[in-house]
Amino acid sequence: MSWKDIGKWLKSRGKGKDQFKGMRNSAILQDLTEYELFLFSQIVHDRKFTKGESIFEQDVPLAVFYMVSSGEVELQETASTGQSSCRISPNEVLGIIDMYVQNRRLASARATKDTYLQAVSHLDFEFFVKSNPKTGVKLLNNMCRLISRKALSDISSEGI
Amino acid sequence: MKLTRWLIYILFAAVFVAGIWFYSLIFKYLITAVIFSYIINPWINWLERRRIPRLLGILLVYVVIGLTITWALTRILPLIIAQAQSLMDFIQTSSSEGTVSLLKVKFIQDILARVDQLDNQVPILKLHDQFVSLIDSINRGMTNIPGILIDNYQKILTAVSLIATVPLISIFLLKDNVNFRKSILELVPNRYFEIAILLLHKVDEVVGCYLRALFFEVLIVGSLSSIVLTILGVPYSLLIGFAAGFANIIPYFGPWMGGFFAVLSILIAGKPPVMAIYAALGMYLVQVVDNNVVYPLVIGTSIKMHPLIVLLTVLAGGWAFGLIGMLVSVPLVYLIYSLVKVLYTNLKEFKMI
Repeated sequence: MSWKDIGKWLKSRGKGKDQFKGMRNSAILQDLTEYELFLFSQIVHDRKFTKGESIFEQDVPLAVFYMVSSGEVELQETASTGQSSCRISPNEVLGIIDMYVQNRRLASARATKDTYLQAVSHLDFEFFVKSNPKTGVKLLNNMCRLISRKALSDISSEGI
Repeated sequence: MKLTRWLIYILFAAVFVAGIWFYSLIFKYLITAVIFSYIINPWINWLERRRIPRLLGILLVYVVIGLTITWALTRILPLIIAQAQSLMDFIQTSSSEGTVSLLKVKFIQDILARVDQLDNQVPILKLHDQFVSLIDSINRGMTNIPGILIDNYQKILTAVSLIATVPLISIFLLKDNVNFRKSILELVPNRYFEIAILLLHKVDEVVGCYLRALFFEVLIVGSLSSIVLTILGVPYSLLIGFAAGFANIIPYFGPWMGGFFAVLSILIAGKPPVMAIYAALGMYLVQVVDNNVVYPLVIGTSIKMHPLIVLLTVLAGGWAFGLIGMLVSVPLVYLIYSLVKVLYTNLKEFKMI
């Protein structure tokens, strides 16, 4: 053990335990300050889903959106043209588009592994954005970035 | 294995029942603390958003409330007590002099003159004696008020201990309300999680809105009515103003009661009847301000219930639990109705029924 290691340990003790480690990596919570994360953590609920467990079904109303902390989720959409599916990995978000499209689930979601999700009520989210406008702008910007990135990757995968 | 599971269930049920029995004694304190917390929570949230730690925010709000109450106790309460004393003296005089004293009131004398006139025209009615006996029974009812206060001193003491305990319980409820909410939701299985969130929101919306509505309406309508009635020179203006504020809690009918108190006090005090019209207009003006400025600004949403259902609910609440029943029956019924509606709609929407 060197003096450098002891210094690192003391520094980490001084900072204390990182309470928001799980949230910090989420795609929509990037560049939020410690205090903003603290405020946002008040409307976040940790949920655990076992392998194969249904998270939500297509066409039911949306009350919460989920941020994937660990594990994996399979989204499956049944349309008149057929079925399509995709996998959602950690730090991505489930239900942002649904939240702004008739407030209904556009696809069904199922955990493909034991999965930890962080749920945020869309009513809490709206209230949070209204009452914390500066943080709200950051969150909505991050959401826009996420949706744009997703749209671009869809376009490139379809070869347009 | 099955027997063990049943034994554990029975043990849990026994612990649950024992817990409810044990804590039932302080249940009313807890409910009052929850109500108090609901009213002041938005202010603490507002301070927290401005980077003031929650505990400090709670203490700041407590200090502000404490100072306001102290100010009210030193400035307004003596006036209210003086008016109440004057009213009690009037009642006591009526009691010692019997029916004759109340019959000296000009308004009552006017009615008695009309009654006598009617008796002369239709002697068979004999309304004079019946009217005098009615006044006598009102007199006796009014003189019982001090007796009721003395007989119920224990209840008054309980109320005082409630006032001392509630803020203490509320500190914990306010400080950890987020954790309490999260802990409740953690117990809910994944399948029902989204419905539970929607239900909690509905409870927050209805209970929070209504409790804040009660608080601000009592305060603002009470103050405005007192000011208007004092300007108009109505006797017992502060007492009547705050009685009108409390009566305003009852939707549709409460506002009329406030006006009725004001008019009644003018007529009993023998003031010119035209003043009753001014007082009624003044109270109407207060209602216009309340409906168009205070309510939309402070509360935003209102209880949507048919007036007939409100009337029946108020009557049923009054018969079952007295004055408190009259005041809380409407929000309670509305809350249960809203929850059942939200639960039924969402269970259908989530394809669970």
